[in-house]
Amino acid sequence: MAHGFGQRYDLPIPLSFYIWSAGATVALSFVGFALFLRQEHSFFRSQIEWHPKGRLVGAVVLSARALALAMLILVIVAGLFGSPDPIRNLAPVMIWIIAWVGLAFLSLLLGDVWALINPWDTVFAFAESSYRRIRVGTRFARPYPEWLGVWPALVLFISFAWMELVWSGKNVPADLAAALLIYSGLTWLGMFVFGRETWLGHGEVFTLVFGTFARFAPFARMPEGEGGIRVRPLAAGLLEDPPLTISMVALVIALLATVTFDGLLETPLWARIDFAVLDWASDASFWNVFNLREDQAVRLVRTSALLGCVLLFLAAYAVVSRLTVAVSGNPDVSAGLVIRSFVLTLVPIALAYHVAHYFSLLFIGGQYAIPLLSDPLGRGWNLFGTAGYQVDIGFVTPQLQWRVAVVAVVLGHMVAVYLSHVTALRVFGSRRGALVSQIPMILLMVGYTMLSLWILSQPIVETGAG
Amino acid sequence: MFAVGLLGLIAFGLLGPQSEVFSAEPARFSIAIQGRKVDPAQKTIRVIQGAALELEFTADETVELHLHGYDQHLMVQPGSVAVMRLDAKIAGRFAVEGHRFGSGAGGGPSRHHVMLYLEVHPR
Repeated sequence: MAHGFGQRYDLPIPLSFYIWSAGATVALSFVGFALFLRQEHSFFRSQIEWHPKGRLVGAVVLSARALALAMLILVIVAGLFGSPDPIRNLAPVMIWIIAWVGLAFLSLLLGDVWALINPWDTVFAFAESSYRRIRVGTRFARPYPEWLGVWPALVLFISFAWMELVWSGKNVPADLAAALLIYSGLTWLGMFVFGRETWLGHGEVFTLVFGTFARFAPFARMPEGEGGIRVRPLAAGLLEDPPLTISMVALVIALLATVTFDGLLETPLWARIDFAVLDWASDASFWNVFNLREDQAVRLVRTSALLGCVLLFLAAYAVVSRLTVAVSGNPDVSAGLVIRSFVLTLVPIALAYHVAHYFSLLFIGGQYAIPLLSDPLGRGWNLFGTAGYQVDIGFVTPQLQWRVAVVAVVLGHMVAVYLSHVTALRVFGSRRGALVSQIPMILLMVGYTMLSLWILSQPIVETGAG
Repeated sequence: MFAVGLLGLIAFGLLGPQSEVFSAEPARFSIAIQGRKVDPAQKTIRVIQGAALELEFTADETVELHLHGYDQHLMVQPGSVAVMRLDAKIAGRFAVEGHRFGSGAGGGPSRHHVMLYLEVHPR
């Protein structure tokens, strides 16, 4: 019943593309070694400041905020009162494609768009300022316990990834609306108890996730109080303020793991696992011990695999960080410092894979928003005259999809190698220490890039079990 | 720089695949569905973009087939051949799903069954 929504018709990357890009990946890693390692280029620290004046900027930001809030309300209303059919309801396409995939693309190209338009922030900030006007001097904020770090956001992020990849309600508009209402309540509660800014920085998962993506972008806000925009080299934001806290490291690694896991679920390999589970569930007594139905058994296995994948990525990263310290021979650098310093250098590979994986979904699946904006509840309305729009599935050709995928993955890899070199120079000081210490991290990156390419080279298989 | 050049070559397709192994002739495939499955060799049908296709289905029970993307439907009855015709204009990988196996009178909540995939490769 849920078919038709979120489907992709991508052809797997042909072998020749795969071999060329894999070769380029390995070659570029060594080019990176040879070229970049001497010193940190001052170019990467350069930036241009821009202080836009006049009311236009304020008006644009205000209308974007209003639009985002209106969209949130519209999606909740559509989910609650609209058609239960996911392809005749605005909620699924807006949440999974336009908001989640689209905002990620915007963040990595344009900077922290979410911080400007976050509708939960808009509502709370408005309520807060109204309340303060009435009762001057009131302060809501309780002190935020330092040990809690961004762990709340990590828990929320894994829940969100679970909803996207495993949850049976992910294409059920009413369930999505309920999830949004629950998340709204939770966010406002967090802001009420700890203060708006504090919760945005520790518990509002999308602020942290899109904020991490936006570190890649060439545009960033000026520090607090200065107003204006900084223009910087691509990816330079990923070098700006490590070392991160351990909880933030875990969040970034979870982000990488779930993006990869999403791809893995569509491979023939995973389809075999799903079918094996279905076969067990249908005849053997194994799952009956837990009193599970077939679909529940599949979801249980997928849930465990999702958590396992996150733990595996964390373990791999921790091991490589320890190896880095071991081979560097520098007694002053601890594994903890390496773990907290290098994690953002992996982000470009995750972004590249995100672009490669979701490019066609955004531009083909995203087209469903065009007719649905005219008829958000599936009631035969035609508000903007676009209700009859037919989705053009040929809009992204396989060649375009392949080239975007390969260029993104190889480019992301190259940027990651460069960032990792710069970080090594900063952490280890000496050129020699940095050179040797890089080997484990480069091997991890090559492996991660190869895994991403392998997934892209696999045909998409639907088991219909999820 | 070397790196940029290599990426450029990939982007402009000079290093793309030379896939001349497919024929653009009007193609006919006979596909038998037995026990809700097709022969593993026919699990993926590959054609080249622009080909005129005739997919001839036989089945051992009534089934409604749905070709995604192109959005074509076809009823297959046991004992007769049902033909799905299409011009493979759009490249991509499209699932053919079986719906409502059996006589179709309501039936149970049977799984969504992807019977096979149609891969239309670009020229």
